[in-house]
Amino acid sequence: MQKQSDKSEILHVSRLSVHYHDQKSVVRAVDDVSFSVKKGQTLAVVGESGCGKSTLALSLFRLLPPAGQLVSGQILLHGQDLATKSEKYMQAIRGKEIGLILQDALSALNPVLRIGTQIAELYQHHFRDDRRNAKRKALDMLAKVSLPNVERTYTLYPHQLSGGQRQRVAIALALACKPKLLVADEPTTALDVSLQNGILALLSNLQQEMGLAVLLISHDLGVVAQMADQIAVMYAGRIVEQGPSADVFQLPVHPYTKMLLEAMPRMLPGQGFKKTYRISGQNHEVPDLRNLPAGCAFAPRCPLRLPACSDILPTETAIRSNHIVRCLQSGQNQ
Amino acid sequence: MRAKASMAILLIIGAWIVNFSLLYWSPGDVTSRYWGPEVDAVFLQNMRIEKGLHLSYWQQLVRWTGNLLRGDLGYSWTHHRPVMEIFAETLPATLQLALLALVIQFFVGGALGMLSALWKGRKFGMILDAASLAIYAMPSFWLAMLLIYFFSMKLNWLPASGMQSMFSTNFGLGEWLLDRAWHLFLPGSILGLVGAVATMRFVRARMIEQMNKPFVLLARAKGLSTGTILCRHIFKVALLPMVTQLGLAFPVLLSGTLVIEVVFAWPGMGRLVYEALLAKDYPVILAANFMTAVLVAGGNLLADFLYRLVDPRVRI
Repeated sequence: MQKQSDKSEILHVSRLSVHYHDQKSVVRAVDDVSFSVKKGQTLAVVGESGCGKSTLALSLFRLLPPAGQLVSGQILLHGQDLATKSEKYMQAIRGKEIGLILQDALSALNPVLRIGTQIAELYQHHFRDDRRNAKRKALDMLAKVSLPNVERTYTLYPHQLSGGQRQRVAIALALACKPKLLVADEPTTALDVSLQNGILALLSNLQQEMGLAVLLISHDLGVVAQMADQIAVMYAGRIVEQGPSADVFQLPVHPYTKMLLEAMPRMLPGQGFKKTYRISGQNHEVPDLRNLPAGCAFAPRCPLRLPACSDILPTETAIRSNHIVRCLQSGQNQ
Repeated sequence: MRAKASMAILLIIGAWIVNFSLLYWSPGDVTSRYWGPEVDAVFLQNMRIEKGLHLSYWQQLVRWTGNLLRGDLGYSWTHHRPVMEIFAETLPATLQLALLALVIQFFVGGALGMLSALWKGRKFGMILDAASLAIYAMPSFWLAMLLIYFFSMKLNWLPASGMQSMFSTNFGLGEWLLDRAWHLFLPGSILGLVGAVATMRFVRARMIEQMNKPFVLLARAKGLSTGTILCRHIFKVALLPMVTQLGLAFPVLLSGTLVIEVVFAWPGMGRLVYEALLAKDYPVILAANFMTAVLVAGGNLLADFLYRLVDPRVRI
């Protein structure tokens, strides 16, 4: 896994663990996670709800809730380890070097501040721009995300826009300061399917134009197929499979990845609607992160489970260049 | 808005009827003040007839309502002067008190609410929280007496009662103003403080409620500092319900002055009403209660109007 860090690598996360503490127990939301994102590329993190995707996203910003704690690991943004930086340093980085898009723009935008104000304040904060300059830049940015009548949109409040327009505003806001890295947490989940494509197309255009590295968090494999260069599949806080998008989609190795792909409504070419695995009837529940088994967390749901699976935690094994799997049977599964 | 206005009018009518009924059914009347060997029953009965107290409930209600509708607030039974005239004399004193208290309530209360939300869970925040709860729970007359004991009796810094010093008519304008302010300080701050802790708890709750919202997370992800987020992003959202509070606070404050005015012998409307209540001085009580009802209803309407003005979501 550990590659030579090259120039095009914007973000390199290694062995990151994030725990939530409460009085009684420890939730291992992110456990020993490593990945990197290159300039102009998209890494998609997929997994079901509660697998730690969003915690992972927030930990990059060091914006975990009070109970959350970065236990170990490195978050290298351009070689600078964000895990060890001060809050002041993080405030200078957030919004400037890394942008965030949240799922629902209606709740993510401030309901009582004008759209323009919310974007312009980024320039005032990060570049010490005066009001006029900030406004000019904000108008440019609104035009860039293809919003109509930017002068008017500037003065509107979030509730006065449509859902798609709001998400465009959210994108403008995240990319206002030309960050190197964009973290998009379920950017299209709250939108109508008819609007999703427009937003995704806008994102990839801006990505190409700006050479943006994107960390896309999604549970929608359709979105992932459209956007991702690399895919990391998360299960119970760990990455169980990671590799180039084409590899993971066409030659999935981990049983969980296979299960996710099977659950997709559209089947892959050539496979028809044949089902190789059923989603096993024993346990459909997302595992309790407080109480994970000693071995593979997926073992209770796994159709290929061996007795050893419950006891031995599989390590990351490279089965092809850049294709990594955490499964005891990865050798046999290909 | 029209429905709200008609509700307000209904509220005023209802309050008027309830006020009169309470007075009518409570024991004793204005003649109860006269007692002793020289007071004979005929004198008292004549007095009752003169004031219309011998009439039935309905007859009296109609009479009082008729007078009110004609704009005639009548003569005070104890001061023997027009009620209007007495109100005009006492209202300024009460307004001074209430306005100072209002300013303290909203500025101090708002600031403390923000601080205690910011310091939530920290030592200083907890102290602030406990102190505010203690003041909130204290009866205001008791708090007033404690502070009088401390600041007036022990330290001798502030006057214990009254609105001005004796011989203040001889003062120059500057001196006179200072003297007034000196007298106003303690009752005004106590009244303000009691309101401020309520506002503080309100602001604190609203701020904390907003802190976990996604828009705050995004604001932090924009790199804004906690102070900016609190003042600019959260406070504005939390402020909206505070505007409604403002509309409601004023009438509450005017009634709150009653206790403070009595404790501080402040020559305002509160004390006037208090004395009128003891004397069963119908014209004064009814007129004062009517005014309060109008203020409450008007404050409600005003709050509604202000809310529409400040919240962009209700504007259209």
